[in-house]
Amino acid sequence: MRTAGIDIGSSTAKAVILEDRKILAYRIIPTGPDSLETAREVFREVLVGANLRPEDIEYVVSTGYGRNLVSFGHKTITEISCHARGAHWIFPEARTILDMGGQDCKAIACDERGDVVDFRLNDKCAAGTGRFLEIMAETMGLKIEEIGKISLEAQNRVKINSVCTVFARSEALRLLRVGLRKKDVLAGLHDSVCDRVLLILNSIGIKPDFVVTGGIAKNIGVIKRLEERIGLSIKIPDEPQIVGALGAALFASDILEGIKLEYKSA
Amino acid sequence: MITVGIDIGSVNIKAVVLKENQILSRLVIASDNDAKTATQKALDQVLLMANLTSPDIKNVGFTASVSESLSFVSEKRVTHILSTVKGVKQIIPSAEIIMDIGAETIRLIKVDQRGRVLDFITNDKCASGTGYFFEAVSKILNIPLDTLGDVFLNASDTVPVTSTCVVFAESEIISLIHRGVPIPSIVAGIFEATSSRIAGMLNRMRAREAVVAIGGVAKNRQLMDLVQTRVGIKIIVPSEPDIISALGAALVARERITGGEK
Repeated sequence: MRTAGIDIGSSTAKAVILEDRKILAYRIIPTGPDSLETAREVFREVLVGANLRPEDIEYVVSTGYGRNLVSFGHKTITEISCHARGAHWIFPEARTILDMGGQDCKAIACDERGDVVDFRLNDKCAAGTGRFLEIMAETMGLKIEEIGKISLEAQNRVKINSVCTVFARSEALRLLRVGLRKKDVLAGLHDSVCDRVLLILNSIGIKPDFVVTGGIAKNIGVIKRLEERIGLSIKIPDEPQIVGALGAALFASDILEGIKLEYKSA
Repeated sequence: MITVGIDIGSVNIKAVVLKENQILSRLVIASDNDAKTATQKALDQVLLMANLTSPDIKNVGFTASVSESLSFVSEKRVTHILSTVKGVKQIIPSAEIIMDIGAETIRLIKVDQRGRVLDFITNDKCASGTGYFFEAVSKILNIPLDTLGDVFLNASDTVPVTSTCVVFAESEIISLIHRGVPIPSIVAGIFEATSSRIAGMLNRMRAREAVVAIGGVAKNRQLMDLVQTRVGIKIIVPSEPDIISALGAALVARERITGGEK
């Protein structure tokens, strides 16, 4: 049984192919202006990775903010459900899942079966999302991959007062201009991301296992600070960006098996 | 008696030289990332424009919408709310609601006939609807800031721009351009969204009449008209809405000498 999950996010598109619920291949590509074209491309690439043809895939579930534009998919499922499904499959003890993506941040509470019990979403404000950190990295001429680590080398505590991304950027520039060091300013900016994320997390309550997914899960500066502030260790999947696509592919497998079962019982 | 008022904004510095109740000279210059140097420059220039030198000045008042901008001013500070109210009441004594939309903040102040502050709401956490927002839009669309209103008037329809956040709106606008949506329709979408946000704040303030709009964004007449239509209250815009707080600071500086209100 081969299924695929496609997650069209605001910054990146992810695809996962499962064979009997084992990952055969996955791909992550940047989301282009045309979501359908992006979906086709990531699907093409993951098929190449799995050495398969489109007709080898029995069922495709799409998720993410561009899920409705994936015209070749069989079904769409919200990213909330898919993240819960994917995270719970990797970590069966997962009860709280934080997905930090390019343009949004989701806190999800799930039960022991991986079903969503509650969730909170920030998709209105760039503060506390990947975009915030991306803009700060650009402003400082640094790579998004390195800023988390640099922020942990800080020696002085710098407080960023602005919430809004564009104001925080001006504030950071002002601080750098008066001679503050990048690592110290970055520490303040990472603290600010954590402030925003904790607002959402605390509103649903945090229970272990606490799993973080999405691109920001790769930022050690955010993860270490969150662990410190909530006093829990955080579980992170090996590839935190594909959890939504994985969940979608798992739902595809569920649906296929459901259909087969129905045939059996009929 | 001659006094000077200086309003240190996050984008522009405004300066006014006041003699009795007459503005001798006024000036708006960019803060240029170095507010201290720019403030000195504004002070020198505005005096020069009025053919005056420092000894002619009895007092100066410095104000700023973001208090940190005043960090290099140790004395002669005037709170922004006071300078705003003084400046507006000087020009439009009947003002009841003052709507000040600057580069980084939206502020609504409710005052009584004597200029006492009754209520105050501010949006200083989010750039949405501020001057910064329009500046970002003007950059992406490659349309000069002061002609956005004219472009809006040319729109044959309105395409909704749903993002509140400036950062997300930027991406949304880019994808709308990509989809071939005409620029005026996008501008109309932005005007719709921002006017509804501003109208929402006015409604929260329970504005009924005598709304005076100041700050750089008040110069956007088409936007103000749209807000006016939404709330159904006339919005008065003084002829130079961006120098009102600087004028107020000069008025307060004068009162401090003559022993009027602090």
